[in-house]
Amino acid sequence: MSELEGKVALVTGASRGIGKGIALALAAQGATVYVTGRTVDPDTLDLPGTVGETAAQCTQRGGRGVAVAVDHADDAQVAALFEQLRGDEGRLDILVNNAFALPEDLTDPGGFWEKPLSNLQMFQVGVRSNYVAAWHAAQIMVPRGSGLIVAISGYTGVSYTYGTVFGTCKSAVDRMSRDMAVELEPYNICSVSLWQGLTLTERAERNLASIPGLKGRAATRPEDACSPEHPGRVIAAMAADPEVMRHTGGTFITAEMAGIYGVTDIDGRVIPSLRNSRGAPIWQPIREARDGS
Amino acid sequence: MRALEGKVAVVTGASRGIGKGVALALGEQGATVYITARTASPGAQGLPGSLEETRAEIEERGGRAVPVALDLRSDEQLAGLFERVAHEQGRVDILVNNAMAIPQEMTERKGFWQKSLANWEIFDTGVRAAFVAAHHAAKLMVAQGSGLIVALSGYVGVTYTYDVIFGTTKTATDRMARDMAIELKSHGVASLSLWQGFTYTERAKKNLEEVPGMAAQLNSAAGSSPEFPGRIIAALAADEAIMEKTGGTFINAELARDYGITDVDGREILSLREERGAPVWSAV
Repeated sequence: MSELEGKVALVTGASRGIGKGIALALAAQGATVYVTGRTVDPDTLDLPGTVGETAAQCTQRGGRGVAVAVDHADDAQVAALFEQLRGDEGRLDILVNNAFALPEDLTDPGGFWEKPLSNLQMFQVGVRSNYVAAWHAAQIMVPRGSGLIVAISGYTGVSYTYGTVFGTCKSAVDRMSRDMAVELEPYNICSVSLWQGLTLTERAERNLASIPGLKGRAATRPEDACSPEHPGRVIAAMAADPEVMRHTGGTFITAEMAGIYGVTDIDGRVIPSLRNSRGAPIWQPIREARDGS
Repeated sequence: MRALEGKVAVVTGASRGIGKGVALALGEQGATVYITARTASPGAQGLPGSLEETRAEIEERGGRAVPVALDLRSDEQLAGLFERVAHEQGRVDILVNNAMAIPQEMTERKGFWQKSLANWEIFDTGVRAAFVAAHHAAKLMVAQGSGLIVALSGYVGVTYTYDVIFGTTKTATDRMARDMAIELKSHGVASLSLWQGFTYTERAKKNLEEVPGMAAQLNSAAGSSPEFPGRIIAALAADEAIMEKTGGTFINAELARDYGITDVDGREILSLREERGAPVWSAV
């Protein structure tokens, strides 16, 4: 099945983790996938994965992977990325804003007045970077009159998790997706935010093994977790849906969106929605909000 | 005795607009008010107002003001402000995060992709700088076991109004106030967000004349003076039960009704909850 044959996607922060999983799932449907991240050499971090490795795996999975080294805190590098994309492909169908500057001390205890201001890098790569990428993407999508912009968010958007900055970022991302949807709706471009629960990324596996008590917390129960490819399968289904504009402006729990499209995880498992224990999204799709339904 | 005698307040963006109105209202109640803005002296901007003028008006009303010229986008200058407050006063009771850059394009009717990326200064001042100020203020407040951090927000926190960055900034502001409240609660420090409706600031009066349709969209008929939110913050700062409100986002017009506060001309300000939306966050 190659539902995304001929489509071009960009996934930010795809050296590893959720970004990599999304890139692979889109490639498996035949898409050309631009994967960005800072990691080019395997040995620069204590976590595995590079943009080149992800791109190579995208190609193995039946799509076409294109690795581009990009620091999403650097506007000039992001502008160059979109220049390359426009020149080489002339189109962009799917933008997944996944990159997020997760600080190593995110899960440490302590008040916001006790943590270093370097944590504010999350605003830079996590909120502003979404805006900048969408700004460039819209320049390509608006003249073509189609496109899908997805922000990766989480229950953190309404539930206090780890710290003030993290929650503020995810609330901001959800709202940004919705207001972008308001402005993009006349151009048939869909903008949504997806709430991931615990995802078994390289970092999460490491943290679950090394941080005492993490497995017992509501946000990090391994039995509720999905693989990094699960959100990618959901995004692939949305990108192939001719009626995707019905969703625009909304924030969705990925597990519930998977239910709408009949998507399961790579092992066939249905991922549970944690709506009742971790909270419900604030923003409805703008069509529903307008119709009062 | 005036309600805020002996209290120390910091109000950002106080050379004009809502910040100036808040500084005047707090100064009038006896607080020593540190007023910050980029505009130190008259004539340095296209709009009227400067820190010197705000200080003069506070002093005319029998209050005390300390002008500190700074650019909120500088973390060093913000750190320096709170070092100075700590050194000179040894405490801070009220922080009002009011300042927010309003670039010309913000109210223009075009898509976000057609506007300058430099407009991100709205978020950098409205959210990032507010966080940095609260970070420094909270260190002092936690040590003294009391304090009030107020964020100025608005119905734009839930209702699309002109600009993606503007809405994102105010949604983030409301959420940030709430998560700060969770972390500060056990230390006796309150954090909340206030929704101000249309306010007759120098800039708003100018925009009302120049931006097509603005009068209708913002319901300027329900507008207040810049001092109205200051009267509410003064009442909050003097309220011994303030911790019952911490974490919440409140519509100023509704708080005013609860506290029996009117505008400077005695007018009651209307809540626009039905037309323009309800806050997301209630008290923790």
